[in-house]
Amino acid sequence: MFKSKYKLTSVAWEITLACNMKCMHCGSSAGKSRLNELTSKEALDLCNQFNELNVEIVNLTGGEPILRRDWFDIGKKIKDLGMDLSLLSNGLALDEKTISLIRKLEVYTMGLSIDGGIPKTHDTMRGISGSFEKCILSLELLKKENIPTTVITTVHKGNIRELNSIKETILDLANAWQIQIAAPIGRFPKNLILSKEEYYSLALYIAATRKKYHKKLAILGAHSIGYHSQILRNTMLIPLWKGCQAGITTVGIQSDGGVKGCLSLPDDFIEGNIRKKNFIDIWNDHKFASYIRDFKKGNLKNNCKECKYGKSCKGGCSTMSMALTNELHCNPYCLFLLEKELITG
Amino acid sequence: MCDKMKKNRKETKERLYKLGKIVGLEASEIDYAKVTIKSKIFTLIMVGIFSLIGLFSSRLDAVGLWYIAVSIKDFGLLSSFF
Repeated sequence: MFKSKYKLTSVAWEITLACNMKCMHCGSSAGKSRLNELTSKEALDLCNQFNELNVEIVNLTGGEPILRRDWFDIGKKIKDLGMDLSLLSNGLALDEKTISLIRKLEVYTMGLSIDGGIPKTHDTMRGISGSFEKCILSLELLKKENIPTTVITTVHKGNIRELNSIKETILDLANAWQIQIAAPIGRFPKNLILSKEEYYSLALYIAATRKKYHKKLAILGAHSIGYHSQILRNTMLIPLWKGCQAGITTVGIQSDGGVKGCLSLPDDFIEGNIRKKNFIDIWNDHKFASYIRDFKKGNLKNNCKECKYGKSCKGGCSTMSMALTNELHCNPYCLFLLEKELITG
Repeated sequence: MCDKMKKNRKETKERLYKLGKIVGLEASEIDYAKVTIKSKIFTLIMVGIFSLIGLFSSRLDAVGLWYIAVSIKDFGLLSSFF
């Protein structure tokens, strides 16, 4: 079998689609489990395949991953094989017992979602009254156990004005704060998408606060925020954007075994299922994620076509590009483009 | 020419202040968010150093992703550099 020249570093694995929340911005439309989710045996075998590919970190997500009965066994298997592990939770089902299990797993980070600076905003978005208080309590328990935490905030029109209060709330509780924008996928209401001005102001916020608070909280924009700003300081972890990493260093796996370059991409991008084909063979297939692996400058579309950064940027985040334009390689939410349109143009 | 540049700079500043208000930033914070020649040079030096370290570490594979530091607790340190 052909061996891919791409080294898989990070796996985003939705271990179940079951969720105990009803978030209005959920990109996966989570709630009930998928009809045919992987069995424990299949899941544990998949971990062995990650190990054979020398994967460095596996990110367990959902749905709510800890609702899956064998989540700890999967996490333990990943750790026993020497890979790093991260978990992404909404915090609602975390109790002292669960947190003690998480501590045993020595996770790289425990991600918790906080989407509002005040309980009302968070609870409304998450569809569960009292979930904000519960999430903060979970953060406190995680801190008490010295478990590294990352708060993830998905920003849209409904919460963009609450960034400062979210920051104040988590400043002494979390290690990192990942800020991402809500993409119009799943059940997210399109009328809440950030305008271009709001998107730019969000980047401005990250650039303004990153260094100021770095001793207490690492603030950083996800890969959907950035790209070659001529005016702002860096908004990402490091000031280097090498384009969408789907199929290059990362992969997404659904709870029913479907494999995509990125978990957030639409289901049209499923390129195989581990039940039908070995995961290693899917990754090593030279046709896998060809939209990124075989990218050429000529693939750029719309405003990205003539961009001087196009070749390395590949048109920004693929999920955002698809969600906003229905095409790849032309994410219009790009600081370089927006500066010409909103600031200097 | 000089007047035009000054005017452009002033307009850029005003537009940034207007955008910064949306997220509740103060003028001093907005000024800080802007890249300067000094910050560009510092960043270039740091990128050079980290690239050299990356050459000897598998973490370079993860550039562009979250996963680059040895621990999430190092992210604050990285934020101070970049």
